[in-house]
Amino acid sequence: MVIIDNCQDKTDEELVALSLTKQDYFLYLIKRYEQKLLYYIKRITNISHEDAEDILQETFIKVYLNLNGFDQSLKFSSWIYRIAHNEVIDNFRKNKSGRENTNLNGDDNFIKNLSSDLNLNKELDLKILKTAVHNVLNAMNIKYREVLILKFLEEKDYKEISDILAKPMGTVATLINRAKKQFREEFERLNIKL
Amino acid sequence: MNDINIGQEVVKKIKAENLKPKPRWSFLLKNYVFWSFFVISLIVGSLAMAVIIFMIRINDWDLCERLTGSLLSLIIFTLPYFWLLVLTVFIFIAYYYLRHTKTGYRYSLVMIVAITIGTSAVLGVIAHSAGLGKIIAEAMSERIPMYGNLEFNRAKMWIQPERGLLAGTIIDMFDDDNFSLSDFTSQPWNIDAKKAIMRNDIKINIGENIKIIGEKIDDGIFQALEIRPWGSKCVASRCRMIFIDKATNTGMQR
Repeated sequence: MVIIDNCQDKTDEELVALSLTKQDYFLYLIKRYEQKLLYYIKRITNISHEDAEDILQETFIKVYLNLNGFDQSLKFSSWIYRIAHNEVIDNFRKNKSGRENTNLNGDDNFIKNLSSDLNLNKELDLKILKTAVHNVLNAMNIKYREVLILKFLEEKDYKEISDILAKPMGTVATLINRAKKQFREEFERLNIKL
Repeated sequence: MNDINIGQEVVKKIKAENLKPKPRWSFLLKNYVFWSFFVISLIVGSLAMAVIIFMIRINDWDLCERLTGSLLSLIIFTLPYFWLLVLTVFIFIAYYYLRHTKTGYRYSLVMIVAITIGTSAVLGVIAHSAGLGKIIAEAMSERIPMYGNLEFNRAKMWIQPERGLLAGTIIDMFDDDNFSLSDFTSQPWNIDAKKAIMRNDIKINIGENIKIIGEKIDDGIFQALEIRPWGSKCVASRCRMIFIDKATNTGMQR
């Protein structure tokens, strides 16, 4: 492996251009995104760690093969998330039989963001709230779960979510509203049992 | 696989399999192909719109009561269903191709459909003004038998001599005010046009397809009060053939 220094200051776009001239630079792009994307994949699917890594590896291979197709009008992060999203969807279609659950371990901020936005019961203990949110998310359709994760956990704005999901911004807004509504209804239903 | 090793594994795989990024031109080509098909769909939609405008314009709206009894039934009877279907299909083909361009996902279905209809309407008016609507309608009638069948309804409305409506081709000129006409069922008529008003700068010449509003005086004799051009010579000849076919097959009588 060739060691390439001074890449910390380079933008994603510069690293894309450099990766096209020398493969080793691509490693820096991978390093920048591997943790974020691994968590993203696990959060929206909760497949096993090994399966998530396989999806991630495929994602990076696709990113590399399509580097010349990177649309400079997008943020690189939106583009790479879109490829990860597509890989997850492909994987989801291939393994439809398995129920996909989400994994929110260590995502306290997400719980706080979501419960604050949706005015969930603030009296609840964080641990109980986390279990409730976890159960509700698992009961939701992946398309609603994903927009909630992108909005409240990845903290992406509407434009970024639109670019990641390849849907118009109006559709993203509708999806988020429906997801919030479905979440609130499901939460209230489950909360009675808590 | 350990998290830390994913990057190394990916780079190793890239090198081992000698993977190379797809060339830039392949992405550009794909994008251009989708844009081209979008533009082609838009042009076809515009031409369909030109024909729709042409067909709406040649409808005799002022005679709706006489032709079909009411405005609604005239609309239902003469709506250019075929071209509306063509327009709708190409609007959705245009949507499909625009949606698959690099930035197409940013536009909603409603916005794309509105843009496509708007553009087709503007280009359709231009194409109609250039005479393309008429040319396409005639060419279709000449070459596609099914299309002529769709025009049959329109012609049928004009073969009602008892209600003062007649249409056909001028086959002989006796003098400036009297001529012989063969209607679309090939029935000959002597036309007295002394009192007739000529619409749309129509020329009374042999071979001209015309519509006449007037009164049936006797069998084979018709008093013309107003004469209009048929609008499309090929459509007229195609309708004549269909009338003959239908009369032969069903024993249709006037």
